[in-house]
Amino acid sequence: MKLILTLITIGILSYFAQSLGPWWTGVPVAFLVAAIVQLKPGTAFLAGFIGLGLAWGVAAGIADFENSGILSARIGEMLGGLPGWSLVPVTALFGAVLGGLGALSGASGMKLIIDK
Amino acid sequence: MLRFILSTIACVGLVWVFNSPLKTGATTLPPLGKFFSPSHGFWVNAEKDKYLNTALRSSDVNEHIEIAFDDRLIPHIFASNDHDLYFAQGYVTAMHRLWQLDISSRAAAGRLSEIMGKSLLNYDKKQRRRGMTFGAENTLESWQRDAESMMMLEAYAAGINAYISRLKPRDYPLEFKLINYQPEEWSVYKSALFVKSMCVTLNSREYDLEFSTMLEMLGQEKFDFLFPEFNPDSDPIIPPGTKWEFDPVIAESTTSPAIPVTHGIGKRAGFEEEYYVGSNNWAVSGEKTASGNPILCNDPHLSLSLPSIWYELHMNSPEQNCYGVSLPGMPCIISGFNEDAAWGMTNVGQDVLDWYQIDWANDEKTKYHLDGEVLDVTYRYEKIEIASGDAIVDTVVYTKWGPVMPEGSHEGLAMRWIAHDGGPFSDAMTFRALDKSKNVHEFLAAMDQYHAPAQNFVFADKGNNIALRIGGSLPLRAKGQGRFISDGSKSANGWNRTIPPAHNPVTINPERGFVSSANQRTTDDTYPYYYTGGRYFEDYRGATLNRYLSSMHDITRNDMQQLQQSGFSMKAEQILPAMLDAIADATLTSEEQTIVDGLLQWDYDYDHTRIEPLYFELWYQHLYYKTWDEFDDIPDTIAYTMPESWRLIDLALNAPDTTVFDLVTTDEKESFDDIVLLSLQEATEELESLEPKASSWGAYRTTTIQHLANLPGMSVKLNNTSGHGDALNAISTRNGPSWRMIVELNDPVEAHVVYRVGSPAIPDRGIMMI
Repeated sequence: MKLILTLITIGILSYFAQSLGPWWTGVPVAFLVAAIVQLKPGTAFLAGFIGLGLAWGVAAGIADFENSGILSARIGEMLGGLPGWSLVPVTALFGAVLGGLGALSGASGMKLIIDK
Repeated sequence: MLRFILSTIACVGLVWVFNSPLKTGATTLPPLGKFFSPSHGFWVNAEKDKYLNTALRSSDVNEHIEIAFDDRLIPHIFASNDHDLYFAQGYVTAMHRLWQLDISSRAAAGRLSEIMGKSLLNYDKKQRRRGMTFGAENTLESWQRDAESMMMLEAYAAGINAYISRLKPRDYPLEFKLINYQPEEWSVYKSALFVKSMCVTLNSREYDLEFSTMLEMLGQEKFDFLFPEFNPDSDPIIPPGTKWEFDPVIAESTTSPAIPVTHGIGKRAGFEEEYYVGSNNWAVSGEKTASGNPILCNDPHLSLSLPSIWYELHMNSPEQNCYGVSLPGMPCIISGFNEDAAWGMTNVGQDVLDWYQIDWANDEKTKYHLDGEVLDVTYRYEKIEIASGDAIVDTVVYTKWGPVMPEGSHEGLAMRWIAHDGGPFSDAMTFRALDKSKNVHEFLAAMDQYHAPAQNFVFADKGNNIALRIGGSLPLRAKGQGRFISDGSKSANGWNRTIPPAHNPVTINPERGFVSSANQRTTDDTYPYYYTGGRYFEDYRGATLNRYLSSMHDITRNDMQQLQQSGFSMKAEQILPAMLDAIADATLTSEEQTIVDGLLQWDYDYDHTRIEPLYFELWYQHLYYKTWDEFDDIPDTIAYTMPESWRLIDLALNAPDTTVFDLVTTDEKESFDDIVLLSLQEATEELESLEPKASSWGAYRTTTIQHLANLPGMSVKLNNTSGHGDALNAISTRNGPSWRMIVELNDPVEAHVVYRVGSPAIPDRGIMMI
């Protein structure tokens, strides 16, 4: 339950925060949320992975849908012939890996402080 | 502890890697995380219908401006004064075409290495050495002498910059993200650079090097036989018999004997021929139309690109109300119409760029001889920045003729180019005057101010006047001047002034009831000034157009549409009967017979659904190269050119036994008939070996609308395009109707336009009424 709430928090906060800050704003968001919630490192990684992955994937999916997939098809071809739709999960994966690592760092950092 | 350190390093490291451009072999990928980020990367550019009617507010604007976008996303600008109008034009152009503006001014200035690295250094050097910045500075100076020009150009620049200043990096057009750089402020100087790049595209063709080598190889007599200056059957733009109502100025220059090309000039390098460009325009008088009002058509066939070279818009202020296309980089509408008149242009075939061999006075080449004096060269230091952070300085040597090429095929030759001159007046005003013009007198006055690139301007007004006027500075040449590489030690060997604008060829309300141009030779031999050029455009389109327009009456806009789409080839009409005649008694294989049977039925129309155009195309190509097989032995390292098609056809019809048809590789003496048969056999073989097999002209010949950065996925390939370079529907693999316009000067004016901007297969079409 804590996992689900955390990943939703990461997702929603980063969705809004990254429209204000630089493109990697979701990473410190995942870091901070995971640190505050004090998840176990493994769970934290999962929360960041899914949370930011969803935030990126959903945003990309909406953009792709509203654009009828015109642009993603062209970018896919530019990137060596990937089908356009596949860029949505690829985008999600970029977000997921970054979010997972961010949350993992946040949680491990907090653990370090608490354990002291 | 370790986990924290490791995961933090991994996390920060990954962000850093994803924030940096990645080099993979020759290509550089954009920073991947930034590029894929849905809040900053390419997803932001995935547009939805977001342009609603907008009201613009900016401190640079005097009053309120409204811009309405119609269902084709064409902006309709309503401004309270002309300053605001040009500001808004700059603003919307930037909104839709910011990267195009940026890249075209960079390309013109030779500043591509700055963003794309060393691989473009040679391109940049070429631009600097051909004097693009030099020419743009001179143009800017001529503009600066006129306050009204500067008002317009500065308002346009301010509009572009107002848009740029509103952008955050996430809003940059996609190409900026792909190449990973930022847009730069616009300036009036960049508009001047853009005009210079149009001069390269339209006004830089010449064959001086090739003609010089051919003359040396062939000798005068053979050269004159193969390369006559003009097709005697050509049908010029200005109707033959037109009276010239002026006293011609005598050219005070002379013609240098052609300089023999002895200093190891190789194949042309650095100044290769640009893509084939062929445009049509015409106007018919009310006497020939169903409505009794004139109809004007323009069909500029520039290279098809994405974004389009044109930008369509409607500009309204208390001083003007016009509609048409603009060129991103310049204010005003270039080809269009207003409530009283319509205008459009095609390219002039006149040669306005010559090469002079410099007679150096010392080994260091810092001094040269001119008219018996020893003069010092001057230098321009061209600093070229490179993306890696380095910079080089290319020192370009200038003489009184112009810049001297330091290496390559034109080493030691100086370029004399009309586009280096600023012009005696500010030609930025020409299009503003056209946009506001109400009648033919205002049109002619606007033409007198125009400098470059020279164009055939067609015009029609509601008073039932039609006119065609050559606009632009044309060199006042001695006869024969400028065909070959010339001796640069005498200034009299070059033109020292241009033809007075009022003497430029013009026809107003000719008796035949129409005016037209398709890039062909401007006038017949009675025009008192020497014309050289024309070779780049054969005459078939022009003659076809004049034939059709002569025979038409009760013309409607629909008739004009069909004429613009005509795939009829006069070249095929002239030569094919002779080809079929030549093999009438020959024994043919069944494959050859199929081709012949098809062509016997063919109406010379390059219709994409038919296969006969392909039959003819292959057969004619083999015939062409077999006829000029004398040229096969010329090594590729030498600059040469081959005779034009009209010369082949002329000889085939009038001198079929001439030695040019004899194959040099055989002992027998072949005639036209013999090589027609041989060509048919080879064409049949080629047809059989085509991979994939072509079942129609449209399946064989594709037309690509290419993205300006030539990125895979961003270009559009069109199958099944009808037409041919020799037909009015002059479509080739890279060129085609970049903009089409048919305007009938009814009350209100009615117009049909076609504008290829990006839709994948079907061009956008709309009807506009004012």
